[in-house]
This record gives sequence, structure tokens and C-alpha cells, in this order.
Amino acid sequence: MGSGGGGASERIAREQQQQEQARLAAIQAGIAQTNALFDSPERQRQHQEFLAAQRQAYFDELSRQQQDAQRQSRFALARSGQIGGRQQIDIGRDLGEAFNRGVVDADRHANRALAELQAADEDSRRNIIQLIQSGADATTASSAALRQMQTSLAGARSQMNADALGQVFGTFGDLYRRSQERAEARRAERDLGTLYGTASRWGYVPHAVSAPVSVGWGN
Amino acid sequence: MGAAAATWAVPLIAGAVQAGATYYNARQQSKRADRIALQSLQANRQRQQKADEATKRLLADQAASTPKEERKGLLDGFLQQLQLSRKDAQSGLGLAGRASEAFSRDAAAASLGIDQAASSYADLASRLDAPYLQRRNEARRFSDALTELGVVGREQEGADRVTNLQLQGVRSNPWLEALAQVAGGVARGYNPKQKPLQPETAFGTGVYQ
Repeated sequence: MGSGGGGASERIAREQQQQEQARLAAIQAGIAQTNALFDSPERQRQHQEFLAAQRQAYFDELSRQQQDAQRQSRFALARSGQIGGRQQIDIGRDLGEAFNRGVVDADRHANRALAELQAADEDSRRNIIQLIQSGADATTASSAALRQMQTSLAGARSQMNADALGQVFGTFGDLYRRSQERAEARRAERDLGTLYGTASRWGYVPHAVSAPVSVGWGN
Repeated sequence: MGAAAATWAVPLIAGAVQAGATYYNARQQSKRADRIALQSLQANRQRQQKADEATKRLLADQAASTPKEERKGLLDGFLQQLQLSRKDAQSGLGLAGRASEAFSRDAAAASLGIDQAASSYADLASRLDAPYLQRRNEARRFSDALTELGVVGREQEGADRVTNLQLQGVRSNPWLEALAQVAGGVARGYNPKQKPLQPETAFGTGVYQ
């Protein structure tokens, strides 16, 4: 080879070296930028806002259930003449304990949702870094990366669900229901007594009102 | 004197012609190959710039990604639906017949409460859903960038194939090769004192003594 061929070879080598350096620089800059994006205060703020929204949603639901339970308990206690009695203290304590369990569960659900969102972001970070690397090579990145990204996002879509809390005060509903049944029974007794005067005249107090009486004479 | 000079000069010149032709041929061949390789590298650089632009765009989009737009879109949609179903939502406050003033007042307050609760819930729901929508849009942009890079990659593969074919097509000049071979033959075989060979026959060397 003469000097002409050698010169061209040098130019080729120089061109290749420049391209390789540019490729490495692009990869390093891209990775740094991606990490900065996902670690940025803005991203963290978005996560915290999401957590706050999740918490609010769960706590609103919890509060709504608590109010229902308290209202029902109060009516139940009033009907049974237990206001100010030991029964009220027991129910109040049970309600309080159930509420506290609900608080912890609500926070757990909210944090779990946040963790899923963060996991989706971590997948995105990894996929973007892979894309930067493959992009710097000007080759096709695996479409598997995209599929994984979409799957992660779908997994993170365990959106806030009121059912996730369940019925925190479910047992208090029974109390209310029993109280309602008792109220119906008392009404039936009263009606029966009014119609025939049995309650006052003969001291007749039916403990259980049978269905035909309730259906036939109730209103 | 002339014959003696020719004895050494002809092979020397023929050898020089052979060497020169071979060298020139190889050099031209090498230059063509280098030119193709260099053009290919320069084209690669341009394609790489296209790929770099795609990744830069993706990173810029990612940097600008917030759930604000998504949240606004969702909230508008929720509020619109609430507005459409407002009558149904407040149907429980209606009263057949004439309502008392107190009832009307309380019903109006309850109606306002329903509206406020609806707005509040719509706002909360939009805050809950917007981050997912935001990430779905990020995934879509990622997909776009991936497609763009795929196109560049396929262009690169095609260009590589073309470059290989071009490199395979770089051949030596046959005329120069022939010249070098002839010159080489002359340099090796030139002898002015040697008698010319007789034509061969079917029975042997064909040389009749």
C-alpha cells in the first residue's frame, strides 16, 4: 500500500473512533439524563400527590363508613334504651378499634398503590436506558421492552377501589339490622295492642310477632 | 553490444512493468474500497444523528411529562357527565305535591351539598387516574421512539448490505492484470539466444532432429 491508501485508512480509523466516542458520550449523557428525570423533585412530587390522593380516597370512604356505623349504632342504642349505658361504651370502643384498623388498612392500600406506580416508573427508566443504548447503536431495540413497559403499567393499574377497604364497620351493620327488626317488632306489638287493647287489659306482650300478623295488620 | 544490452534490459523493463502494473492495480482497488467504506461511515453518522434525535426527543418529552393535562381532561369529562346526570342525582329531593318552606330550604341546601360532593369526588378521581393516563402517554411516546429507531436500524441494515455488495464488487483491473502477467512472462522467459520452439504434433514434442 502506498501513502494514498494509508491516508484513507487513517481517515476511516479516525471516523470510526469519532463515531465510537460520540456513541459512548450519547449513552452516558442519555443515562444521566434519564436518571435525573426519574429522580427529579418533580417526579417525587407527582408520587407524593398521587399518594395524597390515594389516602384521601380511602380515608373519605372510611369516614363515610364510620359515620354510617355511628349513626346506625346511635339509633340502635336509642331504640333499645342503651344510651349512656355499658352497651354504648362497648359499641363505642368497638367502633373506635374498627376505625383504627381501617386507618391502617387505608394507609397500607394507598402505599401499595404508590409502590406499584413507582415500580412502573422504574420499568420505564430501565426501558428508556435500554432504548438509549440501542439507539446509540442505531439498531432496533427489542419490542419486548415495550411489551414489558405496557404490562407493568397495567399491573400498576390496581386503582383505588372502595371495595379494597371492605366493610370496616360491617359488624355494626348487624347491630343496626337487629335494632331495626326490634323496632318493627315493637311497632307490631303496639299496633296489636291498640287494635285489641290486649297489652293493657290482659298484660299480653307478644315476644315474637308472627309473619301473618305482621303482614296482615302491619302498615 | 545491442544483443547483450537487450539480454538484461528487456527482462528488467518487463519486470518493472509487471511490478508497476500490479502495484497500481492493487492501489486503485484499495482506494475504491476505502472510498466505499468512508462513504458508508459518513452515511452511518447521518443515520446515527437521526437516531440520536429520536432519543433526545423522547427524553425531552419525558422531562416535560406531568399529569396536569391528563387531570384537566379527566376532570372536564367527569364534570360534564355529572352535569348530564345532575337531575337523576337530585331526584331523591323531590316531593310530590306542595312542599313546606322548610323542606324546600333544606332540599336546596342538600342539592348544593350533592353538587359540592360530586365536584369534590370528580376532582379526587381525576387526581387518582391522571398519573396512570400520564404513564400511558409516556408508554405511547416510548413506542413512537422505538418505532423510529427501528426504522433507522432497518435503514442501517439495508445500507450495510449495499456496502458489502459494493465492497465485493471492487475488483482489480483485468487489463492491468493481463499486462502484468505478460510482462512477468517476458521477464522470466526472455532469452535472445534460445531457438523458437517447433509446433507440437500428436506424437511427441514435434521437434525433428
